[in-house]
Amino acid sequence: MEVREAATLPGVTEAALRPLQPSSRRFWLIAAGLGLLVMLGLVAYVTQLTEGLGVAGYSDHGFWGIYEANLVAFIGVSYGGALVSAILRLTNARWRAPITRLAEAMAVFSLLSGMVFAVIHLGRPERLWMLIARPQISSPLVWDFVAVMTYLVANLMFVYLPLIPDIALVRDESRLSRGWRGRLYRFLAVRWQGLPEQDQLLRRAIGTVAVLIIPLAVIVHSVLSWAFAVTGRPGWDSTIFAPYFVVAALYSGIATVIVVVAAFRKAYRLQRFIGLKHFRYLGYLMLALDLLYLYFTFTELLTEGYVMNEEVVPVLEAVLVGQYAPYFWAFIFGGGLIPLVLVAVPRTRTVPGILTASILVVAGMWLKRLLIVVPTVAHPLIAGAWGSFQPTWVSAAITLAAAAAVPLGLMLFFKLFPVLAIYEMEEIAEEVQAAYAAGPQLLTEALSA
Amino acid sequence: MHSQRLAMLLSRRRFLTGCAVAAGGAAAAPVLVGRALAAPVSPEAAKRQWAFVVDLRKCDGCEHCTKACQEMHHLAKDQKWINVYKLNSAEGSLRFMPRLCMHCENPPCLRVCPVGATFKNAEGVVLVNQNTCIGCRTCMAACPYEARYFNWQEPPKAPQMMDASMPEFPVPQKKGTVGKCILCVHNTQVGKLPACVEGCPMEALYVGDLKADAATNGRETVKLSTFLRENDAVRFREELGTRPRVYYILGHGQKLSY
Amino acid sequence: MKRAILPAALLLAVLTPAVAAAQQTSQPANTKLTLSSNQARDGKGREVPGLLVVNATLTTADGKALNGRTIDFYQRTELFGPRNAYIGSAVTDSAGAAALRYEAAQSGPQELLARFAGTSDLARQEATDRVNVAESAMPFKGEPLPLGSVAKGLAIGVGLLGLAVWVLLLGIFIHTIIGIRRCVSNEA
Repeated sequence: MEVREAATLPGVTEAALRPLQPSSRRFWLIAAGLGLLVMLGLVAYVTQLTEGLGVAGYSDHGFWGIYEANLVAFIGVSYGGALVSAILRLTNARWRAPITRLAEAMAVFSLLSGMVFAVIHLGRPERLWMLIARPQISSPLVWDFVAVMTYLVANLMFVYLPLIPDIALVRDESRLSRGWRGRLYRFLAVRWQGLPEQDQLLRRAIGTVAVLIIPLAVIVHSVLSWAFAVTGRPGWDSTIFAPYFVVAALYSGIATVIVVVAAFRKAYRLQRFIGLKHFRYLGYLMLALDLLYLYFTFTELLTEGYVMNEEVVPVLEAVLVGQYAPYFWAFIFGGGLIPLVLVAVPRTRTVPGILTASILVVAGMWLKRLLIVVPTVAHPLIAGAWGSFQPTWVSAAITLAAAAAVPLGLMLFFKLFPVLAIYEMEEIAEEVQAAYAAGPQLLTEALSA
Repeated sequence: MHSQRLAMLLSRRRFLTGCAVAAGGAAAAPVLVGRALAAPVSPEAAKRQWAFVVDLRKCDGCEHCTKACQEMHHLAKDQKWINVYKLNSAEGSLRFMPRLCMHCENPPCLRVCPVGATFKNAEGVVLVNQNTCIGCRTCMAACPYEARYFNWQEPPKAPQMMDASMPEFPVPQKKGTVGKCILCVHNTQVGKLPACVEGCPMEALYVGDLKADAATNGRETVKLSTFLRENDAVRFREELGTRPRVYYILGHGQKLSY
Repeated sequence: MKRAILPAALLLAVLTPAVAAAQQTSQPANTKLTLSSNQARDGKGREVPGLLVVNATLTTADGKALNGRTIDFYQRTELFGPRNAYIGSAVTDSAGAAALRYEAAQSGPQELLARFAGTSDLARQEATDRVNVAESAMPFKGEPLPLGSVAKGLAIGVGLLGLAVWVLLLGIFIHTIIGIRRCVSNEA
């Protein structure tokens, strides 16, 4: 395909716009498969609406379970986007350039997926409007609602603003912008022509949102943690729940970024732009967050376990050596120690090695969220037998549907919008060019180094 | 020239759009804040302030109270608004502890409800409006007494004439909402005893009024403050700051489990 | 047979009046119970709000004081119908007097009841008294919640902060988009 290439980055535009062309059969088969999973989830949800939440595995001693864990997990995973796009932007890490679009888009879709669970877990979702009509400000759920909405708006802006010049690029490609697509691109490109004034406005906006999105991210997961921590239940009654959740989100988020980048890099043949270096750097970030998360987990357990307060001991015992112990230790090894070793040891610090570590982390951190929710709820507060949340086909189907919706959403998203952030990559290329005052050859090397 | 125009664009537009949004927000803010700060109905003004006493010396664990309550409110068998716990005491004997909603003066359930479905009426009874409840179960997480139950499926039907379904008489229960002991306000309002008090064959349950300083189990009536003081009555987990309205008179050697 | 009847009838004739006489004497003697209540005063003679001294005197019908008997005191209250709330007991002294200090929870007119349960020799007796309580001894007061002012301040502060964030986000967005669009129309 002949496209108007960016002056400084040969081949980037062509690669970024390739998915916008008619896709292969394999693409549509995968999309159909994911779509089927989503449909199955919808069927399961309708079942839940008619039968009641009991059919999803809930009971009086399992009043919170997989949906609440999913809410935290999926929203947490979106933090990868904030980390890669915002934090790396503010720290001027140039290597982020080819992966920002993937990270930001993943953040939006996982955030949307997570927010859906806030509705699914309600016994009366049709009354959701009451949250807006008569919110009670003392409630942590109201804080959740406001924080997550604000974060969603910030993330949408953060995906959209750097996308404007890229959309303008596609708009100008007549072969890609026919019919409704053309109308969509023209509307979304808001008359972008690459003028210096427009450039200045856009950069300032992106910079401001990048700065705002970081405290917002911290607030959102802190507030999510407080929905648990302010109930004072043994197992949740912890002062460090807020930073604990934030670190968990960053950790699982960066792992998800690695998985998404690896998958789309392979599928869209972006190996020229995303190399081992990117995986290594992401891997190092993941390693640091791994250590931080294990540190938080240890602190939490030590301070509760040492005092041996009779209220907390049953929960700790159940998690460390009791009925939930297999899951907990599976998390520590699978989601904590093995990924640590895989990234730390140079031999395994390859793309397959880092990818394996990331997949383990994503699965492990999801399991960990379940371990935070279920045992505390199952523990009887006065006397009697332990209850538990028991997943059923309904809750499993809905969880799978949400998990499938994220890659499906990304696949469809990149059919309309470039998978590489051309504008941002150019921005960085110009910086490098100015710094090195070198020719195109050295430039491409400098960018992929 | 461009930069001049740009400077104009930046300053004027930013100011105007900022103002517009701020104005809208400023209008909404007082409403939200006002609702948050709205004071509840003053307890000094109400005629009665309900309290409850459980005399554990007399309870024999027969669970007639549980059944009477379930019958009156058409509850499912696993919803025990007054639940009798069987506790093993230190010396190995079996003790019983009926637990109902504590109708706390400082209820954690009320604080965490996002839509204000849980409220406290003027006479101190904590009620749930099942027409408002969105079913998030945060109140169930916050209650330290496990006093709340959820309708996980379609609840049992009530006879047609009883379909009153208001917080003071939530019969029949509504699927996807929370239910709990309501201190039978529908009865007390018309001078009738709560179902559990009426149904207890051991006369172990007393319902009382803090203002009149009297409590009755249906047969005998006592001066509440004296009754509590002379029998060393305690409240369950009051160190949590909940200020419960339910008092327990412990049997010899008993302690309240947590 | 005829010889047995005569002694039997004689026995019955003697026993019946004796039994009747015995029954006559085992009927409990009449008692008299009086009840009065006064506002309690402290050492300086001031009235103590809501505190009453309730005095009951138990005598036989002819005024002889009955010592060492338990008198139960009740207050008539309206709680699920009219009921007698037990407020305490006292034992009569050599003068037949029993006294109880009673804290009235509610102000206004109240009716008190004293009851002597009675024994096999003494008749059961009750006495009532009406008294007007000027002030409650234990007025009910709702206690304010701790940290109330902190909570209010926090709610307002965080609310304003949230508002500021929204204003900033939306303001920047609208400003940027409008600005970008305007650049082109101005050019043209």
